[in-house]
Amino acid sequence: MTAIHVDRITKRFDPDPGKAPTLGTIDLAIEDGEFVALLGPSGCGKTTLLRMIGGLEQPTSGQVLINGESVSAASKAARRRILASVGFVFQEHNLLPWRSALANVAVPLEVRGMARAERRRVAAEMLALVGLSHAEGKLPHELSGGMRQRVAIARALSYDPDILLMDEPFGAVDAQTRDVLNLELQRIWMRRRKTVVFVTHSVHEAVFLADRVVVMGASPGRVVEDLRITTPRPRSLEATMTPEFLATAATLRDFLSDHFTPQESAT
Amino acid sequence: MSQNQVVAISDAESPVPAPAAGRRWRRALDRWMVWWTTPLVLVAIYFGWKLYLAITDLSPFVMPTPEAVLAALKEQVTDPYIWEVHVWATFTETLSGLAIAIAVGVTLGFLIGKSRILARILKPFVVATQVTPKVALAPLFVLWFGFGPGSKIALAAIVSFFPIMTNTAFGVQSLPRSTKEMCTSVGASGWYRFRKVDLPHTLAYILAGMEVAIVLATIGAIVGEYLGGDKGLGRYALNLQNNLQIDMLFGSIVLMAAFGLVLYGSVVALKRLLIPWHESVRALREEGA
Repeated sequence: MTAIHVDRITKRFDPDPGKAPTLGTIDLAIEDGEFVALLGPSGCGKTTLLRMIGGLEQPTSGQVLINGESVSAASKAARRRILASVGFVFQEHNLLPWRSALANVAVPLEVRGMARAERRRVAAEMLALVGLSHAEGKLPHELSGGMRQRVAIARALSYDPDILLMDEPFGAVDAQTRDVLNLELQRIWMRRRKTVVFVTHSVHEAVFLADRVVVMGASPGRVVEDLRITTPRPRSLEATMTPEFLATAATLRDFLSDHFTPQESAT
Repeated sequence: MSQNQVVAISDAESPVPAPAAGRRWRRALDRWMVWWTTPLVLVAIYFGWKLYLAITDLSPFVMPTPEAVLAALKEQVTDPYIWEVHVWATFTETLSGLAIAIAVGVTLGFLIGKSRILARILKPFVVATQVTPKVALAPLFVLWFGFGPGSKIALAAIVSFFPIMTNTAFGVQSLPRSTKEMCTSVGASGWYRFRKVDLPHTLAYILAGMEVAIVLATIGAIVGEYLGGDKGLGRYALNLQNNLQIDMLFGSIVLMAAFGLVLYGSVVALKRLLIPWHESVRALREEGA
């Protein structure tokens, strides 16, 4: 079944018709349980696309369907209901600084009116899932960058959404921690089988994590390639050294550089 | 890249490394410095004062000796009447004024912070109350609220609500956009966001406003007392001046300063209690102050 259908959407921030829109026409169907990476240089609109799927931004034309229901056309109440099955992990952790890790994970449960004891139980379970049981009572400033981002993931998973949207969640952590977190994310995904849309500008990350890599180009933002990654799971860090992995990465890099615009850089 | 390196990095995930021994030492020195510099400065003032009196030979009705002031202060501190009547009056007026200032300031601050239209409508009036010299309003307040505590409370409230209001408005507006989006993405209602996100976030700013406001409220109450009535530290100081008890007048000024200091200290303590997570409080804690 199609979990997310991006139905011919465009997005224009600048009303000047002489300029290219941020996103040209994008058509994309993402199946249930698929792990899709949106890969592209900065400025190609991949984050904007993700935000439109998550209902944080409205398309200029076209619509986004989640489990067959349009998010874009829905009323506020209906949109809230549809988005209840979507979890969002931001570039910044966005944890509330006065709340412990556990209480931060419990925010969406509190919003849903879950009883206190039940909330605590579920939140603790989620922290255990991301390997942070020992940090339940810690405040965000007492955690490292990687740990904060894991709390944010636990928060997005706490209400068991079918779809997880991730906007460069590990962009701010160092490369080694990022490898660890990617392994972790794969482990979580294999246990929970969510539909994941993961925005990144790292070819390495995209190939390591995804079943399918959608490559985007800039001005206007558009899909330039849609590639399946068939490497079996669980993938280890060693798997990123194999000739197949490197060949796939090289192919994607070629696509990126073909659509490279001089003022942007693709890493 | 060796395996060891990877382990080392994931260890580095554990937060906040302990400061180096040398730095800790210096920090301890900084922390205790105030305990020996303050007495030193006080001693210097004492001798400067004595020296000045010796050179100029001023009348004790203009400038008493430090000994006379200390003696007067000792008498005042041990006099229960001063505490029960004057200090207590100023204390209740200041806190009542501050309470009104908090209620009005926080409400207006939230309205202005949340709604651009209300901000446009209210701003000119709020600014008008601030550019008006409040002391000029005092006779009016006496007329409206009488010579009792009412006029003092009104004056304390009107001089102290402004910093609370501006800080609250600033706090509401400074909630990061990304935090708002987090609220949207987890499906939080506006009411939930107000109670669980806006309020705790803004509390830090409200308390910062209160730090300034408590000092202003004290001044407001004391100025109010100068202008009428029969109680409070301001009234007491005025009486002493009229009686030419200048050593006692000096003592009463020291009392007022101590009064203000204690109230200010309570707000700072409140801040530590209510927002231990906030950057400003954490910095204080790390200094060990």
